[in-house]
Amino acid sequence: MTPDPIIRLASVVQTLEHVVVPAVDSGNLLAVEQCGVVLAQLRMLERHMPLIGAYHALCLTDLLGVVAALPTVEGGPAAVMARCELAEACAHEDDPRIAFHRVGRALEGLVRAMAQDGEPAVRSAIDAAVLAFSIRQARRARSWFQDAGFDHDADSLPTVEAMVAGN
Amino acid sequence: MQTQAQRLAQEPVAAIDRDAIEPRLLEILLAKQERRKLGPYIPRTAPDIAEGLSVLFAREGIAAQARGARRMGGGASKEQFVFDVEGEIDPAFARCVLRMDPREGIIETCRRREAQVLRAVAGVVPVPPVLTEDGDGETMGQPLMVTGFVGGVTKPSDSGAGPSGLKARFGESLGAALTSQFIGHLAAIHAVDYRTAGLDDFAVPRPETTDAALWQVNYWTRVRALEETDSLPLLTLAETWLYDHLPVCEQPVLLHGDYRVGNFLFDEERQEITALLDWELTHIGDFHEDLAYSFEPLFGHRDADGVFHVGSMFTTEHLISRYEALTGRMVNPATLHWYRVLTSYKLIAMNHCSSIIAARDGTNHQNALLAFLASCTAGMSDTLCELLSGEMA
Repeated sequence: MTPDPIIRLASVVQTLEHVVVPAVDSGNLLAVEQCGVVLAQLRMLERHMPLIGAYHALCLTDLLGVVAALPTVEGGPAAVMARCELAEACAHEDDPRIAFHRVGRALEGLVRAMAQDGEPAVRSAIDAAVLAFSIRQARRARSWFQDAGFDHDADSLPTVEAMVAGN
Repeated sequence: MQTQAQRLAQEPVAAIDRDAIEPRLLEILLAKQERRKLGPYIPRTAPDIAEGLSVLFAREGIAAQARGARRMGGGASKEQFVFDVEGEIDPAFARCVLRMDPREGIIETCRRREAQVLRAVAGVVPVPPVLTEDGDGETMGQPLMVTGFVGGVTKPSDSGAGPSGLKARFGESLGAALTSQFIGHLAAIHAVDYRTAGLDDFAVPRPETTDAALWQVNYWTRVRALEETDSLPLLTLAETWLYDHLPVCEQPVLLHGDYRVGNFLFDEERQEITALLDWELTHIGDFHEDLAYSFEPLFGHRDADGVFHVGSMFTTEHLISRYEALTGRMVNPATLHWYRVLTSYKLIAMNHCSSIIAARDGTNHQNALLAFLASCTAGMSDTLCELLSGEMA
């Protein structure tokens, strides 16, 4: 693909920053504020773009590993059905981002079903596994979005590049 | 489409009524789902607003004219315009603020309720006076409220801050002066007798029951059901934990619902809070809820020793001890913890669900900002994980 999307995006950011934004009416507060947000978002996208595929693959691999290691479900019809649906969600192969959310939703279905009629000890084990995954996923997401400037402990995070590389 | 397991999992469990939601809040939440079908929202222009105000004033019998309408900066949920008023009008309304809903936002709230509570607490705590409201958007197409303009700033002039006044830093002297007012005003709000305050659009949870907690979980879970686009298993884990541990509220109080730095104005020279703002999340519930809100890391910062300061002003220990001294109430640590989990749950629901769907559909006046703010979910998820750690076997 020529030109490369990263070059296309970089050219847009530079033109916005040096040509368009300076020409915005400084009395138009909404436009001025949104320009700042737009530039910050585009710069973040510039950094993310080469890493998007690897990031989603990393998240999906972790999630599928969690599902594979879940204990055998014991409980009532809701729990058993949810486990079947989770297995089915994991069986498809497609875009990692789509797969991640499909499996994630099925896992949420299992969490709800276990709360309804799951065997308590098994439910506890599943909840603990979901929490452990969530801790890892939150750290990945914090690293991914650290350039947004909202993180409460950004200094403790690996760079996006290091995180995607598995460090 | 629901799966069979999801349908089975939603069947009633024991005595928990998962449909119990304040009627007015459910009404406007469902109306929003219909409004979304109208498509992208184009931000209003100053001439649009001037024309709309003329119609509004005529409808309300206000013998005055709006002049010089212009957009205000800041804010992440409502379109806001300031304008001058000429004519037969109380001097408190010589300059006014129009606060109007976009088609969708990070939260769906009611201007009628907001006007009711502002009138209820006027004279109790500093708030902008209400001139008029149109809760159903009959005059300008969107619900709105007009208040008198109150001077002040949301952050010190020498402090940087993020959107909505987040991450503002207060100096020692200013922080100390505002701390006592901030906590004192919270105690005063909680002391308002909501039964005689004209809060017609508010439902009151029964004392000595789990109503107050249940209604909150039900509401934010309904928001997720209607607006969640991406999975987040952590949220469902929190949802099941919240339902499992609903605390009893002994005596409900009037809550602000969004009590934090960025939501009050102050006079830098006099070091005085001039107005408490953003009453859109106000409801009647458990006092622990307003206290728990202050613990959210996004609304404060840690000092060099790692101690968390609410809005950079005071520690959570100070908040609790001062609040207890002022009100005579005792904070229950378990209940406070439950409301901290709820705070994380609802803040993530706003950012992970409502913000993203509005940004996706272009139904807000600040779509780019909503998509940007949604990245807050990452840090909030970390907080929620911390809160739930130790709760899971």
